[in-house]
Amino acid sequence: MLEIKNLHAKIEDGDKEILKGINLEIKPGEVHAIMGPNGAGKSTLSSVIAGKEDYEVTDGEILFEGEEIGEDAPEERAHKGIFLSFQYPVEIPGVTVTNFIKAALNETRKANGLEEMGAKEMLGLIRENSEKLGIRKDFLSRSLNEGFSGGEKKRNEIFQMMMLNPKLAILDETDSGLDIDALRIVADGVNQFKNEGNAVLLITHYQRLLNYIQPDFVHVLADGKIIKTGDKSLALELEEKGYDWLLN
Amino acid sequence: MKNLDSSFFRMTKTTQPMQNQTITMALFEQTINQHSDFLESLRHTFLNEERKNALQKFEAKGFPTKKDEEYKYTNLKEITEKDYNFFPSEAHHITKEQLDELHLGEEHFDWIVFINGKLHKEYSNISIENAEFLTLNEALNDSAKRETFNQYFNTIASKELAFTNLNLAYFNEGFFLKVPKNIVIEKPIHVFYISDSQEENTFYNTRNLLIVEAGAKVEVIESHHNFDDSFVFTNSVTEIFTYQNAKADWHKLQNDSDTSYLVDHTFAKQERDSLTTVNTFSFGGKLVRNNLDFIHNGENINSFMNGITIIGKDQLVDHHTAVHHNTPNCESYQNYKGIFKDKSHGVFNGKVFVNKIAQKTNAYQQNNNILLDEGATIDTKPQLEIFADDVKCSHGCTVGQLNEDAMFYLRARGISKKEARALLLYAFANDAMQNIDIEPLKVKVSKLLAEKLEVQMEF
Repeated sequence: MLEIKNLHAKIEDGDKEILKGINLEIKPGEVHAIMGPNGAGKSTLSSVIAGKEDYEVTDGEILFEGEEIGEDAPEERAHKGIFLSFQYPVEIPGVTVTNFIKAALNETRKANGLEEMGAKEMLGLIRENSEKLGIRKDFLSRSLNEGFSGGEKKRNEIFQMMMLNPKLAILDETDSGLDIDALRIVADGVNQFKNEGNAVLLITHYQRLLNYIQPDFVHVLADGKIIKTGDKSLALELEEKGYDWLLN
Repeated sequence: MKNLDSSFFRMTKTTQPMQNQTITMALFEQTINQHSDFLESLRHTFLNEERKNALQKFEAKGFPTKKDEEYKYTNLKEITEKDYNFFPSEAHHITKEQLDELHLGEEHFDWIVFINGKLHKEYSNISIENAEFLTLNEALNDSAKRETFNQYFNTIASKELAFTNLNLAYFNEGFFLKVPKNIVIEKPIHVFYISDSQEENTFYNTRNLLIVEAGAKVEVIESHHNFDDSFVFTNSVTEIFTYQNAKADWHKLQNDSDTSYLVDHTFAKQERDSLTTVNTFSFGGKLVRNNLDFIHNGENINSFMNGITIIGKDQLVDHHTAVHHNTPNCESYQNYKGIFKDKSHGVFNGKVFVNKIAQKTNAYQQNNNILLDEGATIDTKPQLEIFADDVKCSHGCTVGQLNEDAMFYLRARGISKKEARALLLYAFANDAMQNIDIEPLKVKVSKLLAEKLEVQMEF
């Protein structure tokens, strides 16, 4: 589904290379976790996959379903089925959660040659997904992310993921700032979303989330490169020993 | 005493050379030459002396130029160098369908429709009961009804300013409503000033008078529409009186054509425990100057001034506000948002005067702006003159561009660049819409925002 080959990237106006030759392949049905110390380039990787224009790819390629997407705008990547859950979701006063998700979903449908979703069907889908995440009705008529707690913001990100039903969901530090109950709800959402046809890429600093979402592969990212890949036992090992033993 | 008189804060991406001033003023000559014809055209004469005096005062100083501090950034030359017809022809081609496109709903509003300076009852929808609704023309020509008129008319409008004097000299028609004690007017009243089928540039001096007695309540929407390619210059003066426990909301919906000029001066005088709101939504017109004066004359007064401006091309919208805190324990809130495209130009000057007896004043003022294109300019200046020592006054002005991280967030959800920009700008403008109680007006303003941002979206 996603193939990253020898990816090098830097901040657009800077000289410093942040990603220094990443290789990664994610197949349908798989869950991958990328772990690593602060400043390793984890968030840069997720931003580059999603198409953030602040970064410049200097070498290598990103293939999604066999197609090079390096020149695509962020919205085009979203329309192809890439979803990025943000570490810091943006507050949009005056635009309700419901209206926002309607706009996002219908833009994606239009781009894929589908009709806009009717109000009734949309409402049913909203109800179904919000119930799965224990989201109250009044939450949906609040302004997007405005005054939301950290947990509410992340739950809202997962709700949007479920509504948009992407092929590849990248969750950037979705576990940070969550208490154990919120973490469990978010993880439940991801587990319900997960199926044989889609894939999940978890970006996380801590092993904690991996108690709830079982990864097939764990990669360690340090200084812009994947320095080790293993199964979920690698995450436990990292929890125990930290990163230092890998860095030298 | 704290005297904060900062200089204008200008943000622009290009430097603009100062233009040379020329003194030729076609309109000025006309205002002198046309007055006797104008007075002869009227059915009433009782105001003639006042009108002549006002014209003399105007004549003595002329139109303000950029040398005038109050007009430093707003060049009126393009208005004053044109010739205008002072006597619009009555014939028009306005259809019911055209009006239907302008109004906000059949059932829930009253409409008062002026076309080419005359009230057209056949197009209006007037259900006001228990209140004294008149056109100014009726008030002026019916001596029995003149008592109320005389009691209020021109008592709070400035007698020293060029445009108020010019208006007094030449006004002939407008909206006049007195809402008696404890009467609540349920339906908002939408007042339309329409100009149509004029072959020449046309000059209108419109005048509004609203009196809201104790415990009464009313909402007014005012809009101006020029249907011709020739220019319209409207010089409008409004006086609003709000008495104890009364509530008056006045919404200015400014979305006129590119051949329209508007200079508006609204004066609002409030008595104790009253609430007055003036919202100004400026989406169109070639050059618009809004002057707003709030005068406090009692305790526990609340005043709200909100504005949303979205303009482009070479349009100019200028907001000059002044709140006169003359009495203790009063509050005023100003919240103005501006979005400027292309080579458009915004001006904001917000004055707050706090008298030394006006202790416990709470005055809030905010002016936030976004410049979308190179060449767009905003000149913004808060001006606070505070002579009381126990007050809470805050002001702030910002000029910025759109947040790139927020853009990325929206685009990564599949929302295109243009729509993402519109959503963020809507969010930016949104809190200046908080004081709109009329749902269809809110919807209309949202629709106009989408239109001006060139997206088909429901926010």
